[in-house]
Amino acid sequence: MVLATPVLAMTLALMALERIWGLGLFDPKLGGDPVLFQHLFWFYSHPAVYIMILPGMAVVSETITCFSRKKVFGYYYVAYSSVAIAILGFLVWGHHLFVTSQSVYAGFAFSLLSFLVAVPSGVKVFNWVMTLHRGSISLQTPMLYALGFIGLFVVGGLTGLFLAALAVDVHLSDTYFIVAHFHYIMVGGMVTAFMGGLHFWWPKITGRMYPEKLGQLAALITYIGFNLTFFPQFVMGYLGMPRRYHAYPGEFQIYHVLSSAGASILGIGYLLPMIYLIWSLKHGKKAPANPWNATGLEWQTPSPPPKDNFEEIPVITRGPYDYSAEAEETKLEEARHV
Amino acid sequence: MSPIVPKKTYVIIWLVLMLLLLLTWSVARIHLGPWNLPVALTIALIKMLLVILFFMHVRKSGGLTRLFAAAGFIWLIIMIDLTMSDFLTRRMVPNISADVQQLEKAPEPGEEKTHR
Amino acid sequence: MSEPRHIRRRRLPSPGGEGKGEGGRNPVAPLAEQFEDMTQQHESATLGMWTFLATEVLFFGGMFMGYIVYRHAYPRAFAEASRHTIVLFGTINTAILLTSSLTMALGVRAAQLNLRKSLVAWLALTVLLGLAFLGVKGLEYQQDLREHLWPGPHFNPALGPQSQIFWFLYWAMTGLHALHVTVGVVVIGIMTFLARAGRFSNYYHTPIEVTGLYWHFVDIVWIFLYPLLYLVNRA
Repeated sequence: MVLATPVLAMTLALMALERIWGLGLFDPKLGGDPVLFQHLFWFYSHPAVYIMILPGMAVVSETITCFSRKKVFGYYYVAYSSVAIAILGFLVWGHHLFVTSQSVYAGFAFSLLSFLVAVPSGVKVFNWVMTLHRGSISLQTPMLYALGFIGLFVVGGLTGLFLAALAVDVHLSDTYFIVAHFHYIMVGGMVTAFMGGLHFWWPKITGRMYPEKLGQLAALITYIGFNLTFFPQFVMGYLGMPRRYHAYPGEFQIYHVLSSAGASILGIGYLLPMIYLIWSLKHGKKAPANPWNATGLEWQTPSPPPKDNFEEIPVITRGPYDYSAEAEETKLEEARHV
Repeated sequence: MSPIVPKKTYVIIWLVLMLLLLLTWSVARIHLGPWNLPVALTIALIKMLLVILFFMHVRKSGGLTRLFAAAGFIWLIIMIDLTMSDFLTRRMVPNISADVQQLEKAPEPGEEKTHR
Repeated sequence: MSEPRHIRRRRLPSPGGEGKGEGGRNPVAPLAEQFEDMTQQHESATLGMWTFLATEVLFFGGMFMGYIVYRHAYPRAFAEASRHTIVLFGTINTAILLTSSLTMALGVRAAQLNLRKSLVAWLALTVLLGLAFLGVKGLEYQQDLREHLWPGPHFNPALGPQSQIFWFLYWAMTGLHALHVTVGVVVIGIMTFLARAGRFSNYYHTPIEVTGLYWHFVDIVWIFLYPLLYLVNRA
């Protein structure tokens, strides 16, 4: 964020100067190159999307461990993968320029790097799945969202690999395939993780429990609606439906209809939490300090936390995610989760 | 906190910087063809390093400070490197259309437009 | 620079001792609540400033990127356009800024040694040099405008269209740089007054150091602007 945003700032400033005073840096009439604008723009914008997804991944790590009662598989691998994604994410921006006049050789480099950046994400997904393996899984609302994340993020990530391949990207660029890809990552990924995190920490933040059954229902509706909205878009993108067109041949109609129907369902899925979460502020059950029996430090303080967070500085005796048997016993003796 | 550097060190570094300024200006007046630019940039780089290491105390700073100091420049290099990988290699693609034209002597209207 | 409201004002033992600063005022050590000791606080401030400088590197970097791309694309136009920069002014300004870096570094050193009067003197000198830079730049800009080197419909007809790209970059880069110099001059000016009032000592002079880092950075940007804008084709 620190390193990428100034480039965007400068680019937008140069663009503004170009428009206001007719000074051309990206204007071909003056010898400028619009591709330079694209390089500068995407140098920021691609890392930006990794910035957007990384917190979601962290939420998933927290949630999966809590609701499988298991410490995360390969903690250091997960941690270092985050760093790797952050760094590698800065090296791939040219994949947004495959179909511009960017040199093919640069395209090779960016394509290779784009394949590489998928690796740490894959590592994390494997680690989450291994965390689930032989865990004691309970399907509370945050867990449903986290599981949804894993599935949808995998689809989005794999389709990203399609797009990282130069030849395939020529065919799929500026089609609905791309739209579906980034929505799977952003909505299926980040927004889902966000909803999961929202429900996970809602008791902590507000001191109230949301209605669990409604939460699970909303998660399910969201999942169905989301897939119905965006999966047809993969198909129609592949079949050639371009982006940003309002009129299209009849053969694409069915996909558009399915997508719109899915969108309405998705809308309900998001509307429900908005309603019941606000409802819970007044009428929800009062939340205990640790409704999920999680191990994080934030759960050792009342819900909502007092002004200084802790009455006295807590003493840490366990590692993160210590869901081992002895720890469980100790916790079971304490408050039971609702 | 930062260790105290003797006055003499600062003044010597300043003298070196001024000499480098004189050098860069003089060398610019000699015609070295394509080498003028790398020479000028190398001198600028040395000046920058002197300022960073001595005036900004990075020479005696801890590892974390050095990392933060280096990060901005490393990222700038990443941006320049990969972007230039595009601009520097554009002409390298063999001009297939021109070859086809040569063969057929009758260029298609579409082919002219697909390459720069 | 401004202390957080909830600081605990503690008198920690300092090598200079209390009341030993020139002017007789007792330097109080403002250790903020979240830090363990002054060293940590100081390191944190330094890291914060370096983070900001990293953003500045990339901010200017966007324009340097543009410069590199277009110089590579239009070497002759850049060479021709650069001849109209005033190398005398550019060189003088480089010398001024390098010297101002020296005075700033000496100012920081004076603060480290609790020499209040020297600190004020060095800071004031840095301000003067900064103003001198701006003065020379102003003269130069005047001259450039007289030669119609402002890109647009009234651009100097003797130069080709790609020269406008060079000159656009010249105005944008030196303009942004001059803005940074101005901000630096103002901040160092404020530091001068604060130093005169005895706010700094060998125990606490973090704002001076951190301002110094900023000022040196401004110098470094100019170190690169100089050859790229003035020395393209002087042979």
